[in-house]
Amino acid sequence: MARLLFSVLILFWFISSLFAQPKLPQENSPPESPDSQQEPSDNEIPLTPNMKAEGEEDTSRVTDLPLLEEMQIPSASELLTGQKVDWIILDNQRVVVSRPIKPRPRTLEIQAEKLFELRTAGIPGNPAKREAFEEQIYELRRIRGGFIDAVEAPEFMILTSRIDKIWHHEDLLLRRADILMDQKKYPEAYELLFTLQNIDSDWPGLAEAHHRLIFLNASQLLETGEAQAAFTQWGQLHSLDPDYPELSEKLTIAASIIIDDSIEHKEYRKSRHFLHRLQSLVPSAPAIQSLTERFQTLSESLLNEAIGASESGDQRAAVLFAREAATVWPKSRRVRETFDTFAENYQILRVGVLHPAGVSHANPFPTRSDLRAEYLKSRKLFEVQSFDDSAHYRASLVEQWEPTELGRNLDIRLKTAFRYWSSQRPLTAIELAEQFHRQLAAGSPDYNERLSGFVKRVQVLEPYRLEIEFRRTPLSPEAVLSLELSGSNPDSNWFQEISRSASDVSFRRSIPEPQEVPQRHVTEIREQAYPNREEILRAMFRGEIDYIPDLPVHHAAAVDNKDHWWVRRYQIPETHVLQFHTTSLLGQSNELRRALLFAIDRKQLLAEKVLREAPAEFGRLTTSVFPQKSRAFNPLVSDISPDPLVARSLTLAAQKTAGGKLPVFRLAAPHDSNLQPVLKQMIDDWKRVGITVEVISSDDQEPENWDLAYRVVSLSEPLSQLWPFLTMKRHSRVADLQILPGWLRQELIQLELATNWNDARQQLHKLHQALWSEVFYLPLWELERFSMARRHLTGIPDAPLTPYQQVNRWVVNPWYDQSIP
Amino acid sequence: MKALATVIQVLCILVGFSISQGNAVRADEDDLLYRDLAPLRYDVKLQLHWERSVRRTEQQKDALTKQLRQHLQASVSGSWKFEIQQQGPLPQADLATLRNWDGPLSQQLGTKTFLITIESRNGETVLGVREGDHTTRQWGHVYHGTIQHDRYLATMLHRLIGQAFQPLYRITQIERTQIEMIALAGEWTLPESLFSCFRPHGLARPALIYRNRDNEIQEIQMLPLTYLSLESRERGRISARLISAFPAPLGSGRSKRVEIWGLGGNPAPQSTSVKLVLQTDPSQVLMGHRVVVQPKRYLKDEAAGEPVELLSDRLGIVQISAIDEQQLVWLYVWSGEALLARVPFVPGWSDRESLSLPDDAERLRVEGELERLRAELIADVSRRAISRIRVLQAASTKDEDQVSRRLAAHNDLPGRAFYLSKLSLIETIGVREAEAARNRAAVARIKRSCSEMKTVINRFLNPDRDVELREEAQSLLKLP
Repeated sequence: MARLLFSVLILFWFISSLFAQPKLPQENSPPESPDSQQEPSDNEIPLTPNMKAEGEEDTSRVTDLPLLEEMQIPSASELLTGQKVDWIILDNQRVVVSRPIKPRPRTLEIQAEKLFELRTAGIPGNPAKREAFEEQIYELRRIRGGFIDAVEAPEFMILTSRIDKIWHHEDLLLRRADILMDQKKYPEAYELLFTLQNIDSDWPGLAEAHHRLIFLNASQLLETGEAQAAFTQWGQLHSLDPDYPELSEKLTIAASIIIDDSIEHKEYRKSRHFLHRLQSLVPSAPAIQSLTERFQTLSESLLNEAIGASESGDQRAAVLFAREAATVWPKSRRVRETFDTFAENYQILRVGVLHPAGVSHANPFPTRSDLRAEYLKSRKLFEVQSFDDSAHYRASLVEQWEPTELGRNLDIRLKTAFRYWSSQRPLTAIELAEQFHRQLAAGSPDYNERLSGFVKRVQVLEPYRLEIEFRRTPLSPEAVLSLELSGSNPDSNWFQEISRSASDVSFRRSIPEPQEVPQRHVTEIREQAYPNREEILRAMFRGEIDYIPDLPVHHAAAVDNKDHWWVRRYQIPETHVLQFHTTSLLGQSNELRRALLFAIDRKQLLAEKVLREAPAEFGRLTTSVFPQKSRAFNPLVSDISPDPLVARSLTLAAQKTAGGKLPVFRLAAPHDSNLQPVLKQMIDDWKRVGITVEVISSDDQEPENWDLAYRVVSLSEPLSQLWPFLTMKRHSRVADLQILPGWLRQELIQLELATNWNDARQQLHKLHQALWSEVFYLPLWELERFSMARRHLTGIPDAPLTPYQQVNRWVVNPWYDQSIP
Repeated sequence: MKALATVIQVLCILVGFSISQGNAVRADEDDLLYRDLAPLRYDVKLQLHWERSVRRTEQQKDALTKQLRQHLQASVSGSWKFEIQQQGPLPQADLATLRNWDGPLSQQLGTKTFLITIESRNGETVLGVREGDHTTRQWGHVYHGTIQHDRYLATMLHRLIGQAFQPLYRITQIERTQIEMIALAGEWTLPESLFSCFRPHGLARPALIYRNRDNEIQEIQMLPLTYLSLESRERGRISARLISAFPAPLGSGRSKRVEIWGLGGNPAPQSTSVKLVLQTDPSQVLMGHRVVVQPKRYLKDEAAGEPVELLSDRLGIVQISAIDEQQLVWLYVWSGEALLARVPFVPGWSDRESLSLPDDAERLRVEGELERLRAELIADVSRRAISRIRVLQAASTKDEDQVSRRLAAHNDLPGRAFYLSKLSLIETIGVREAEAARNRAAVARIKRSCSEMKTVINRFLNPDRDVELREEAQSLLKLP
């Protein structure tokens, strides 16, 4: 019994000592010595509830105080979503869970420092100041906290001398993060650290925890085979803490794995990049030396292969090996010299494209790739050389041509010899006459009705001279005779295809240049496909390609480093148009076509989705398929403003005519990621007015089944190109005009029958007005066209007309990327 | 003696019995004879032309002649008096020369000349036959065939001669479209239908022979786009029906100086190039004109099959092919929405024909202008409908200012007066140009098209609707 009583007394003493009322200085009482107040006796109760106005003592709080070892660090979700708490750990290792304490962090240290400063300053003599001084001393010797589970949120004070340490909420976050890291739950740990970063980025221990997280996470990445990601993370850690334990070893391991893998996959640029990274991060790593030697050995081996290939006469293989050697280890002088020799001898033009030339596609119209292939693989008697307001022609096979008999006859003298770089052989008059015969014979597969409408007779006068007699004087004989020369002999083509895969195609000049010449030119053109235009641009920056034939306007505006490459503007802009299938309801309903036009805001589309950051001068709205600087363009034709309500009204009218319901229209478009935002916006706009359009995907089973097509065209010769454009056929045959109304058919025929440029211009302007009024096709906008090349590529015309104009005269000077990747 | 022969001949015809005559009666010999009595048989010359590369001995040639004679004798019975000659007028014995041959034909009634070419090509023997009719002075179409062995030579030649043979008819009576004719040598009953003067659904082309007072031939004219459809036969008399692009191409047939003959035949199974030319200037071809080929015999018949649509090419030419078994087709030539011509045509009867058409350029231009005006009208009618809704919306919210602003905007939209003035301009220019070209048909068509357009404008841009709109808006504003 006595023992029980004693125990109760002891407990009472303890509770009293914990929750004793603070001794606030009394106004009338004499001031105590600060020290006497500061240093309570051993019996003084250090912890006192602040709200003990009623004098009630809460014994349960003390008895409930858990020991630190019994406490569980709150879970991540509690820490992130629950009430923020701090742990005050008393000298007896019991824990008081409190509301957040201020100041923080380093609460005890800050209090102690302030107390020390105050004491060092001395006791003020002035009574009023002394009272304030004592009050400050009192406060600084205590921590003010608040219970978390009390309804009225009572506060309390604890003597700092009784506190062992304080674990703030932030410390708890760190501790939980540590636990999560131990459990390899890195994303959760990262979330906690990220939260703490947002709370206080300078919190003690945060940086260390963060470093540990990076290190451990990278280790895990390495274990899962993601060496590159691991290296990146360790690299990041290196920038934060270069002396982090085991970091150098880890970086070396990751770099070695990456380099091994890259070499195996012949990604030498990548392997060099990581070697360089390793070198910059861990210069003393012993692996650097061995890796460097490995690169050098590999490079030497490739060089030897190149030399061997050259000696055996395979110049192409020699230059390919030499380039590979240069990619492996570009710093070597031997590599540079050998590469220069081989690359000058056999020049390969590397071109970055979306689709390699001549690749099959689901588009119903020839794409840019088709046109490039056609240009390389065929010869024309006359071809457009330049364009101002009309096309000007050149004839690479013809020495001289002269109209006689008031233009009814044309005397053609063919070239008998060519320069060594031309990759062409002379065409005899008989061969040319045979070409004419093939294209003039009605049953021939090469039959050209337009040509046969003009040419009455072809007479060979001399081995290299012939005369053409026209049925009527053509307005432009060159335009009439810009016929494609086909031949069974591969030498008759300019370039010929030598290899093809899904992602690249190579063309080589048909007639090689002689060995001993002052200057060699492009021997081979290799088109490499990339998934999108951004990748093409990156490839150019990395030095993988020399030339981009089609650079989007926003890229053209962004490329500003003129030291390494140049950007050239084509003479003819490209026009974006929507064309309608004649058998489709869209082709037959004027109301629907007009509804499509009224529904879209072309100006906004052009500015926001096409030009983007490019200057406004790079693009403009248009009402014709011909360039605005062409004489075929009628400046008096006015554009219309978008009006969705009118579009809706026209759609309803068309819907009524069509029997109540409109079908889903299928849109054929080039597979270009840059076009996708434009198409999406247009389709949304049309949907709003009641016209549903879907884009035909690249793997569609019926690509020929389309209602409208998005076309990008560059037309230079209205006399010969308008007709095939409207009929959507390769040649201008009268039978194809059957799809057009009679009056339009006759307008086109009148254009062909025009005998002077004034009549032709008037007719073209009339056609422009008529086609726009009827919305026979829907012109969207006209964009400037650009190409981009490395500076080492020379001989390209200043203002080219086509991507490979005069490519037989281009020079690819030896160059490879020596920059550190 | 000669008079006696004539009397016997007349008697023979009367009793339906024919006898062989030494020579076909020649028109210039005895005018009375050829006018009243058809000659009893054709006087036929068959001239064989052997190409040099065809190496045949004289015996082989004689054998062929003999075989051919036997075949023909069996087929033509006594209706032909024929002679086979081993040479003829052709400079070269090939199909191209035969096709281009246009040698003179003496005007001898009932006389026919068959030019036959035999050439060797790629190890095969190519045969060509072309008939020249002396009565109408017309060279027929070239029929050709190929054989691999000489044993078929006579058979093939016999068949080609039958195909090339063009029976001759003298038209005796014309009653609107009903024609009565006497077939030359029609009294003969032949075992071989290929050489018969009457083939069911056969066709003949009329020819007019103009004579002067001295009974000399002044001109022979084959009537274009006019055909005689053979309907029935009563011995040598044939009933036919006239099919023509023209109202009465043969007249009454009673003129003494104009003889009307019919030349039958087999259209070749190949196409004919029809060149569309301008009536006022035949040197100007008409490109891009739509030609619809309707397979039917008479204009009022239903088409016997799907029509074929063609477009004249840059030389103004359309290739017309026979449709199935239908020898005769009708061609509908369109210029835009206007029908320019509607003519009967037998493809394959000749290599090329030309068709003269009126100038429709001005009317077509007006059609295009009206089409564009119609497109503008559609958009403006839509705009007016939306504008009307906006006015009424403002009126229902009692916003007077908004109503007046929107009414003003509505009135600013192009209205009836605007479109009528545009239409008037189009009509005036079109009519003036057509009148200048003295093209009355075009004037009438332009006026009709413009009148139809005017009706459309009046219907969709009725100014009364604007008055109604104003009143409706006012009444909505006044509603409590």
